[in-house]
Amino acid sequence: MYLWKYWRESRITFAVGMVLVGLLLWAVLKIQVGALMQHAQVSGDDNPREIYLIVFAILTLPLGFFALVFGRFGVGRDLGEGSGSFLFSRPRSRAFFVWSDWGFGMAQQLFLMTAANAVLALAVYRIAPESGPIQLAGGPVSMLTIFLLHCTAGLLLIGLFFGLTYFCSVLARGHGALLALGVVLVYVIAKSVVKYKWPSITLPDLTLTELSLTPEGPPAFADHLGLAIALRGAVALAFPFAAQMVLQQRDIT
Amino acid sequence: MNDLAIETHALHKHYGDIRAVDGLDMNVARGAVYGFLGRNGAGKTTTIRLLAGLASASGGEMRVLGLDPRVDSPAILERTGLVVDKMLLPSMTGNDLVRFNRGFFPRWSDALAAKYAEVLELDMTRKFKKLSTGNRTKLCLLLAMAQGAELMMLDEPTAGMDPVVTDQLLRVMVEDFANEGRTLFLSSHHLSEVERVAEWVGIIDHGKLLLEGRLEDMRTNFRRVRVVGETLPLAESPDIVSANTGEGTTEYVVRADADAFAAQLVSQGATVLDVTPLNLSEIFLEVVGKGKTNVSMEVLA
Repeated sequence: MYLWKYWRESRITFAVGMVLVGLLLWAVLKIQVGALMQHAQVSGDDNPREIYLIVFAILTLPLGFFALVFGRFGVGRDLGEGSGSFLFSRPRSRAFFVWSDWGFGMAQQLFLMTAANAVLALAVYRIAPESGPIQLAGGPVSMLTIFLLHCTAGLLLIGLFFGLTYFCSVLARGHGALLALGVVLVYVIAKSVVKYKWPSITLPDLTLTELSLTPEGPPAFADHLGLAIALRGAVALAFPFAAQMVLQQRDIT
Repeated sequence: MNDLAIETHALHKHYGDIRAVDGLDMNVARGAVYGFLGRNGAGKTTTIRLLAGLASASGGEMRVLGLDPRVDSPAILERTGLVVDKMLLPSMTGNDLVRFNRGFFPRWSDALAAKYAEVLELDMTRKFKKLSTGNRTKLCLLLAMAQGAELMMLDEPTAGMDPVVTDQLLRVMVEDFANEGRTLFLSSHHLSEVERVAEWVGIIDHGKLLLEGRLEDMRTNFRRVRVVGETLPLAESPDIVSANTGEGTTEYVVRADADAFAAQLVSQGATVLDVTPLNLSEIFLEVVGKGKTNVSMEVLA
């Protein structure tokens, strides 16, 4: 029943997300694929699958935005609306509410992202069904590997933004999304400032850089990719844990 | 099985320097209708929040249905109907809230929910945020009563309601809930309502329980003793609640043994005009120290 409540709150956003991501996907494929197919015909390159790498990067932006929106639902919203006492007097632990919100929200977004990626991969396959694997610096890599890696990168970004907004919503009640957006902006600005002041120091990107792109030659898998995935996963999970701890310590008013 | 539904011992809740609950000792018997009385800010709501596990105590002990709210809150809430803020999920209708609530409570009854919706004349298709204050409270009570709870803790259940609805609610609460041997714990400062339904009364002020007992015993024992004379020798008794002097008479309020007290005054040369009983409202005012020109216990001593 609790999941039904979350679904009820988030279903419009979910539907809007589906439509917007679909439209964006359609537009990008229409424009980008057309251009690349034209380029392939002119240059004789018959492997346009690299467009998958480019289109995915564009796709992460709306998915990240929706993660910020989804984070507003659940316990933080209820606290903001003054119904926290009602919710937390249902006979469940506070951890139950946090992880139900988080699990269901992540599942919705995972569906959005996987569906978008699958549509993208199918579109690319339809354009060039016979072409071979994507050529990386270390050798040829299957579309499936790239697909899974992209999904992982997307999932980590969504997990980070969603968890951050959820945590901020528990802290700041109705203003969680704004606070989370502020935190993201401050980090992005701080990253630029650090890079400018101390060029030898590079703060990690918010998104996972799964491939190293160089002007010359094919892209390669980024260094320490496994570690980067693990650390980002830990950071993304830290937020719901922090939300749980805050709620367990806090008096509900 | 412990025969107390609620018990607290030296319970404290501090918010910085403010002592919202300050050493509360309270015992609510199973099956009782207990009126928890106090002025605004006396600590009633905070106490209920502590008992429900919505707030954490600064110190002391408490048990609800034999369990500690600090560690067993979900188990307590499964057996307890709670109405504290009267704010449900704003975008849900009454029917949605019934659907939402049903899954949490193993003894939930749709039949009871439908019955109370009819008795209380509630439009279950309207969103909660569109309901009037009275209807919001009714819906909160409907949800609490349909869950088949052993214990109901209600904070100011009739606040904001008109007399007709108040009457409906009190009748439903007593007939369908308390008469079935379940425990009803309701806080209020509407003394006449509490007097109508409660068997037990606890009076809290400044976070302390000043008086606890059977309402019938209070009515029997509390007496106003009116005596001629303003310069009477002060009687020393722990049962004297207040003493007010003026216009040639002195009024004592005693909590027990009024006849013996009157006899003591007579033996000291006083003339007792009358000994009269007090209603709950008068008892409350005397206990919280707001009855007329109250003389403090320290002065009496």
